[in-house]
Amino acid sequence: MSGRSVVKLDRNSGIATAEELGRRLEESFQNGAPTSIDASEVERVDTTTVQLLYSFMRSMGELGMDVSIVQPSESFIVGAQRLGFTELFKLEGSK
Amino acid sequence: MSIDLSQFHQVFFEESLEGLDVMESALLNLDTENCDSETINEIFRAAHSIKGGSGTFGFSTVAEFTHVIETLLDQIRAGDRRIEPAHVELFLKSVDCIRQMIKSLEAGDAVEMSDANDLKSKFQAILDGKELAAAAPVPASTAPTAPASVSDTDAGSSGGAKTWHIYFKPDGDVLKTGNEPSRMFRELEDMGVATVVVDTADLPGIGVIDPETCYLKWNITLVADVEKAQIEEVFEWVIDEAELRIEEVAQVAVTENPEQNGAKPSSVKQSKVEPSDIVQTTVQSPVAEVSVSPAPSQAISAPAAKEPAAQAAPAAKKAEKNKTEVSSIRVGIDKVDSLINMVGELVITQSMLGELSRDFDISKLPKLLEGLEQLSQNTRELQESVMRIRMLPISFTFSRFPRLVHDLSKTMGKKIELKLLGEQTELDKTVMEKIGDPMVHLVRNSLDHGIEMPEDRIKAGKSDTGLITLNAYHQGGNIVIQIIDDGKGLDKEKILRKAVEKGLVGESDKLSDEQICDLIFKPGFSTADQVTDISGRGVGMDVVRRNIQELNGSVEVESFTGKGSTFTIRLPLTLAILDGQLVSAGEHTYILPLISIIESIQTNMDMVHRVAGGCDVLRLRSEYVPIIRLYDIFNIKPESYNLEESLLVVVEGDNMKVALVVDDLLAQQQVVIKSLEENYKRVEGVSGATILGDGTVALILDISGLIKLAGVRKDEYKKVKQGGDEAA
Repeated sequence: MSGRSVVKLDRNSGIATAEELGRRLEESFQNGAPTSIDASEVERVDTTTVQLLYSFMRSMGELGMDVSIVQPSESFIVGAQRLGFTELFKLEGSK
Repeated sequence: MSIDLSQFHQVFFEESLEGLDVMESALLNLDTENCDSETINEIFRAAHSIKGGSGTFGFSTVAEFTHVIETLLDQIRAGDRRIEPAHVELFLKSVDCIRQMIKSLEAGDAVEMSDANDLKSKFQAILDGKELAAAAPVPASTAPTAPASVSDTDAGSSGGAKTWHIYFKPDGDVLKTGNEPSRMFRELEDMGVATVVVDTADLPGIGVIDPETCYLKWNITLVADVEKAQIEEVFEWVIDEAELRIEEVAQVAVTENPEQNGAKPSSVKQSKVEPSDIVQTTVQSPVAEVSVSPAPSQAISAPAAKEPAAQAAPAAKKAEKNKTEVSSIRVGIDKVDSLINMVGELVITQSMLGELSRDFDISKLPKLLEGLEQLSQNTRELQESVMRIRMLPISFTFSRFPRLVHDLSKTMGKKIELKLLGEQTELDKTVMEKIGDPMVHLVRNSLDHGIEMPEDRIKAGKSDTGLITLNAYHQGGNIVIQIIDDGKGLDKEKILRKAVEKGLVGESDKLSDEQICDLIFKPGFSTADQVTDISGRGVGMDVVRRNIQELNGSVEVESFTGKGSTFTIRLPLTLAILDGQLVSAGEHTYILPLISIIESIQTNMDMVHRVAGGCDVLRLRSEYVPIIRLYDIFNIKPESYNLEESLLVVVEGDNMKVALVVDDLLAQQQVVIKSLEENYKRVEGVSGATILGDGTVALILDISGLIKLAGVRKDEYKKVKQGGDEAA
C-alpha cells in the first residue's frame, strides 16, 4: 500500500486519450491506493473519459478505496453535468 | 439511476380521483351562508394536491386548469372573497371537468379542453372582478365564441412548452464512429430545459472496461417548445446505432383540435402527437419509430422490419390501453399485517410438519394429525385474509350518489335529502364495480318516479323534502343494499292496466301486490306518462335485474301507495369462494351454500302434509315449508324414495324457505366456484361447479333456481305459510 495516487486528466480528455487514461486508472486500481483525479486543466471531456472515471470510482468504492475529483475545471463540471454525472461525481457546489 | 416517472402515474390518477371525490363531497356539504373555513381548506388542499401532482408528472393541462381554481379558492380561504352558490356550482363543474381530464390521461386519450377553457374563462372573469352575473346565465352550449381568444391564448401558452421524455441507449460502438452523446445533449439544452439522468447499470469495472465502448444509457426530460421531428433531428446520425424513444409526456388537446384553433392548422397539425407516434415510441425498435415520422430534411431508408412494427401499432395501442385499465386497490395496513401473520403461522406449521416427517414413527401420529389440523386452520385463515384484501367498503359506490341527487333534484325542481347508512359494509371489489350502474338506475328511478314535487308532498301531508335512503348491511354471506324512498309509491293499478295492455298478464289473472310490483322488471315495461331525461324510457329495470342476476344476486321491490318504495338488492359478498355443504342424492354429490342452510332434520310423515296442487309441505314448528325433492329436479335415482329414510335440509333462497330432500349430508368445505356458463352453459338450478378433493366435479346448487324449477311460487308459499292450519 502506498500513499494517495494522483491521476491528472488531459486538457482534451476525449476518445483519443481514453485508452491511456484507462491504463493509468487500472494501474491505480491495482495499487489499491486512494486516488485523486486532478481535473483542473480539463477543457473538454467526453463520454469515454466520464464513464472510465465512474467505472474506476465504482471499482475502487467496492474495495473501500476513496477517489475524489479535485479542482474540477468549469469545462469538466459542465461536461459531466451534461452527461448526467454531477451527482455521481459529487460535483454539486464544486464550482 | 434513472427514474421512470410513468410507474407512478397510476397512483397519481387514483389519488387525484380520490381528491376529486373529497372536493365534491366537501362542496356538496358547503353552506355558503355559513361558510366553514375547514371545509374550504379541505377543498383547497385537494385542488392543490392535484395541481402539484399533475405538474410533477408533466400533465400541464390539468395543472393549469387546477391552478385557476386554486387561485379562487385561495382568495376565498384568505377571506378576500365571499363564496357564492354560483361559485359552488362552478367548482362542481370543474370537479367533473378535471375528473374527465384525469380519466382521459389514464386511458391514454387526448384531453378534451373545450369545457375546461369555458370554465377557465368563467373563473378568470370572477378573478378579474367580472362576477358571474355576466357569465353564469349563459349556458355552456350557447356561450359566445368570444372566449375563443382565451382559448387561443391558452393554446399559445399550454401549446408552447411541451414535456418530452427521451430514452437514449446508443450501441456500444457509437463513440468509435465519432457520435458523442454530449454533443447531442448540448443541442437539446439549446432547445429548452433538459434534465439528463444517466443509467450506469451496464458499466463494467475498471479491469474489464473497453474505454472506447459506450456502456451508458440515458433518460432525458426535455421541456421545450419543439416538435418530435426536431428532437429526432438531434439524434439523426445515431438513429441506426441506438435505441431511441421519444414520447410527449403530456398531450395537449388544445393544439390537437384544429376546429378550435383554426388560425394555425398546419403548425398545429405538426405539433400533434399522433396515436401511432405514441405507440411507435413505445416500440423497442428505434428504426421502426423513425419510419413513422421521418425528419423533413432527411430521407431515411426504411428497412423491411419497419412494416410489421407499424402494423403492430394498433394492437400495441390497444394493449397499452388495456394496461391502463388495470386498476388497483388500496389495502389497509392492518389487512396486510394480518396476511403476514398468517404466512408466518403457516411457515411455522410447515416446519413443524417437516420436522415430524424426518424420523416419523406411528407414535407420532397424534402429533401429525394435530399438525395437519393446524395446517388446515392456517390455510383457511390465510385464505380469509387474502379474500379480505379484495373487500372494500361500499362507501366507494355510495359516494357517487350525493352529487347525483344534488344535480338531479335541481334539474327536476325537487327537494331531496339523501341518507347513507352502512357505508362501511364491505364487499368484494368485483361485485362493487358491477353494482354501481344498476344502483344509479334505481336511485334515478326513485328520484324521478318516486319522490313527488314539493307542492304535491305538502298536499299529501308530508314534508316538502323527500328522503332517499341508501342502506347496506350484511346478512349471512350476502350483502343487502336497499334504496328506500318516501315518495308516492308504485301505482299498482296503473302497472296492472299497462301489463294487461301489453299482454303480459291476462285480464282475469289475479296477481298479488308483490307480483304486480315485480312487473316493473319486465322488459320494455314503463308506466311513465312522460319520457324524461332522468328515467322512464321503458328500458332499464329489466336490465337492472339481469345485471344483478348475473352477479348471482336478486332484486325486488316493495311499495306502499303514498308511503314510498324499497328496492332490495341481495348480492354474494364474493364471487370466488363459497362455504359449502356437500350433500348426496343417489350417486351424485351436490353443494349447498352453507349460508342458505337453516337446519337439517330427519322427518317423520306426521310432519309432512299435502296441500292443493300436489305440493308437499313440511310442518316446521309454527310454519309450513314446501318440500323439494332433489332427485325429481335432476331426474336421478335416490337411495330411497321414503321421506323418513331421507334427510330434509331446510334452506332459504329468494326470500322464502324450502326443504330439500337429500340422501345424506357429507362434509362441509370451502369450494372454489367455477363458472358453468364459461365452461359449459347456464343450467337452471345450478349456480356453478367445483372440483372436490378426490378430483370429481360437483354442482353448486342455486336455491332460487331450484325453487323456480320446482314450481313453488312465492304467493303459494305465503298462502301455505299463512294458512298452515288449513293445510294441516
